Amino acid sequence: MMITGLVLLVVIGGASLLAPFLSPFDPLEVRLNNRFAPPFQRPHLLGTDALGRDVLSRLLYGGRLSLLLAVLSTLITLSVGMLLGMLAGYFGGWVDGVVSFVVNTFLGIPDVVFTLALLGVLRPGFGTLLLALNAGSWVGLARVARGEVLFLRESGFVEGARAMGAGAWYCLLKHILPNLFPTMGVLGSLRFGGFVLELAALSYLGIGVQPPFPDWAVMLNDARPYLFTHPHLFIFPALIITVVILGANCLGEGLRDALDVRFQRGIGES
Amino acid sequence: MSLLTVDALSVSFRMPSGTVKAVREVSFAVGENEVVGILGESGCGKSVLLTALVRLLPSNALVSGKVFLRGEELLTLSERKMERLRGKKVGFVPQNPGTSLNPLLRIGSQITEAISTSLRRSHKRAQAMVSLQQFGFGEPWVIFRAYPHMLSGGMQQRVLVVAGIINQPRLVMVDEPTKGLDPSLRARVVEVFQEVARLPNTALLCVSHDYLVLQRLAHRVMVMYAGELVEIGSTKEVFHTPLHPYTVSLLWALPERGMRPIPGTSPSLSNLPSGCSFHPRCFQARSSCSVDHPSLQRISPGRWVRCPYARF
Amino acid sequence: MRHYDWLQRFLQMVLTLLGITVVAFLLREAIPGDPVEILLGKEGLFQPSPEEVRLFRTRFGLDRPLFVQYFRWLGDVLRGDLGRSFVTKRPVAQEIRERLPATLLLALAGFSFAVLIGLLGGVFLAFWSGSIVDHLVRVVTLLFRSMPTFFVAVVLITLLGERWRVFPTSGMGSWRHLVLPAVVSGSGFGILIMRLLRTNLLQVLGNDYILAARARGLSAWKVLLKHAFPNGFVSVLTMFGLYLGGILGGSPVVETIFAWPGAGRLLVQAIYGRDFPLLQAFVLVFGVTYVAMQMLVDVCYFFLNPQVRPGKRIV
Repeated sequence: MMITGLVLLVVIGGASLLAPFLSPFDPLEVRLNNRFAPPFQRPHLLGTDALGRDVLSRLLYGGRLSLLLAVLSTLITLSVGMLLGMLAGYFGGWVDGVVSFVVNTFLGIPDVVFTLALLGVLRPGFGTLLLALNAGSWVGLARVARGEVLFLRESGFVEGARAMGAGAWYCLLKHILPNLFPTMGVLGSLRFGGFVLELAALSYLGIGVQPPFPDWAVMLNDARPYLFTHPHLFIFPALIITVVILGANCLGEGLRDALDVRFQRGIGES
Repeated sequence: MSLLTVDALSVSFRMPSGTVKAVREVSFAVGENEVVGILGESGCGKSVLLTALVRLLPSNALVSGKVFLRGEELLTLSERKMERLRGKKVGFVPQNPGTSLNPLLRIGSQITEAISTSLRRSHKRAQAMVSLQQFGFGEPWVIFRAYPHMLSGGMQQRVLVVAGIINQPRLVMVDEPTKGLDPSLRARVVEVFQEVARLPNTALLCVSHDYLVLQRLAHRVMVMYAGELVEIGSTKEVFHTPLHPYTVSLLWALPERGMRPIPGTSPSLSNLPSGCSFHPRCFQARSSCSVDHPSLQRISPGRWVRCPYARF
Repeated sequence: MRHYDWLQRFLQMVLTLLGITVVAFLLREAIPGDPVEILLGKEGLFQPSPEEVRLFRTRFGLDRPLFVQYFRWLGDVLRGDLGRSFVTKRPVAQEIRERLPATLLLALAGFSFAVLIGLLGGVFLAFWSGSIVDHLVRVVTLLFRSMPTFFVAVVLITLLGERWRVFPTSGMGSWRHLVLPAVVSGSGFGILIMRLLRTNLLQVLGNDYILAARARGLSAWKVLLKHAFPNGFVSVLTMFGLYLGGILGGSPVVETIFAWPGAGRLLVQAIYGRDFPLLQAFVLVFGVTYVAMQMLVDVCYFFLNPQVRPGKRIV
């Protein structure tokens, strides 16, 4: 399960990365004399769109921005969430109080609303999108991380390390952090899928990635009027997006299942 | 014809790690009005045996053999017919009273749902109250409306007893009555089940690791080890003159008789010792014990041992 | 003891609400550029002189320290004044008030749909767990969850709306108009509920009291419905608050696709038009609604779980 997800993601990620080498045509090149070419015919293997642009090339390039944003967002969210969670969970006291307060406040706002609000307020651009996506998402992760840290803090090896005179930061970095990775890995994968989804929705509505950049969701938006006449223009990008999210979900679920098994076996036969 | 006849009952579980044989070719009978006890340590398969008799084993269980309740074969009955027996002809008092009651439902509801006759709600309620009173609850209406977490462990068990016997079953199966309860309550527990045994036409099949409980409660005792019956006899016979080395060792392990622990650990049911299952821990094992698997031998009427070298 | 818990909860809710107002207020600080110039621009005054800027600033109290401004703003909000939309010039409160019922209706419909298929599906799957149907459903739901909302919406619109003309696809009119949007809105969470309930039910079914109930003679269905379901449902209930919030959060997309005249669609338009007062109000309104719903769920949980209620120990 997990492997499937990983494979899917790697394939698509790799294709996106290697797009300049793989793509047969320039994704932005407009050829008005060759509009709506049907798919599965040479030279345009997946056909062309309303402006004669090659669909396959656009698909290959389409993921670059979204995937990059999603990956960056996932990393940022994970980092911020883990950091705050660790600080709150490990040091407790007023640090925990402050962090928890902020977390609870942000939890009160559905992050979609926050994202949209920020998008409306700030100037459109890469940085804005990045900020908007992440503004609300680190919260849930921070809460989970905090819970895990609290649990880990009381566990044997941390106490042992402290008894041997290890300082707080040492404990955090060497003992607690590695143990957070499994759970964070699961949540991170799922969140990655979530980001791709969110970004696609925003781009589809026209408030995310802007045309003429060949983003998948933008392609979907472009294809809307031609849904009946030329369904392939809609179906291909939609499928790709679904496959990416599916890959992320498979990876996350597979990791979660694998972790469960590890825990179960650890408890022993009863 | 006895009330319950068990003939070569075997229960195995299909696990990812292999097949686990929990009950191996167990045969015995329980007569009307009799109290029969099964003594064995944790993991010997006695609870599985009880659960198998009411056919409530998990789906990965493989059962073979025959079970007769007054002549009717139980293992091949349809599920619907089985439901008609459970709680009505055959009562069951589960172990761990603390977790055997649904925390979200009131006690009364969990008792009346067991009542099999199609009476009006108020009649069922009255019947439940009478039963509760019979088992020592001074203010049954309070208990009726209470939730399980409000009761002490002993009270929870009595409630489970009431629910188990409310339809006046002929046979009541009791699973580990002292497990999950404070040991100081043992005397009280015995009293409760003696009360059950005194009910007219009621036989008891009681499974326990607690030898003291069975001594006070049972007429006959069967000792179980690693899924097999190793000794059968009247309570007096088994506890005063134990024959099987395991029974002897069990009694030696009691605090009042010297508290000598039995060496070794109980065998894993997926990897049983060859020959006699007890031989690795037996103080009188011979070389043949690791080769030949002994069968149950009849010493005298009602007295059986599974050991060729049992002392007489 | 119990009272302390409630007090703490209440205080936390108040703090969260306050926090939300602070966030909404501070949103203004995120706007690039001088807010005064932007405001003046909206009034039609471009390239104002420094004198005009200063006058404007004082008139609107924008020269006061930040937290004074905050309290003034909060006072306005509590009195119902949420400012005026940059685009339509109408009071924001009115704009939202006109659209909010439609959104709430859709959210409720979507939520009901989600609960319906979630509960039914969950019970079903728990009963047939391990079978081919169970595995098939799991694969299908995984695929479904990976499809973006608008993809599902478009598919449904195409098939049910235009090809076969079963349901109308835009606007709000009869109950038929509600069906497709509600289905799209609620299906995601419906699937989550289904899976969660299935997992919880299976876990509950392993408990001792289930065996005890069956030993008392109850049939498998009766045990599932009377004993297993309430216990499994309780944990699903705690997630309801989250789901409601999520459905509310999904309303911008759904409403835009189906041209549903709700507050979510207004939000998207506000982004296009960079209508700041509207955006600010949305953060407030959505935030407060969300918190209120969480509180509601907590209250429900309290009523359903007897262990949380105070009860005397009977000796």
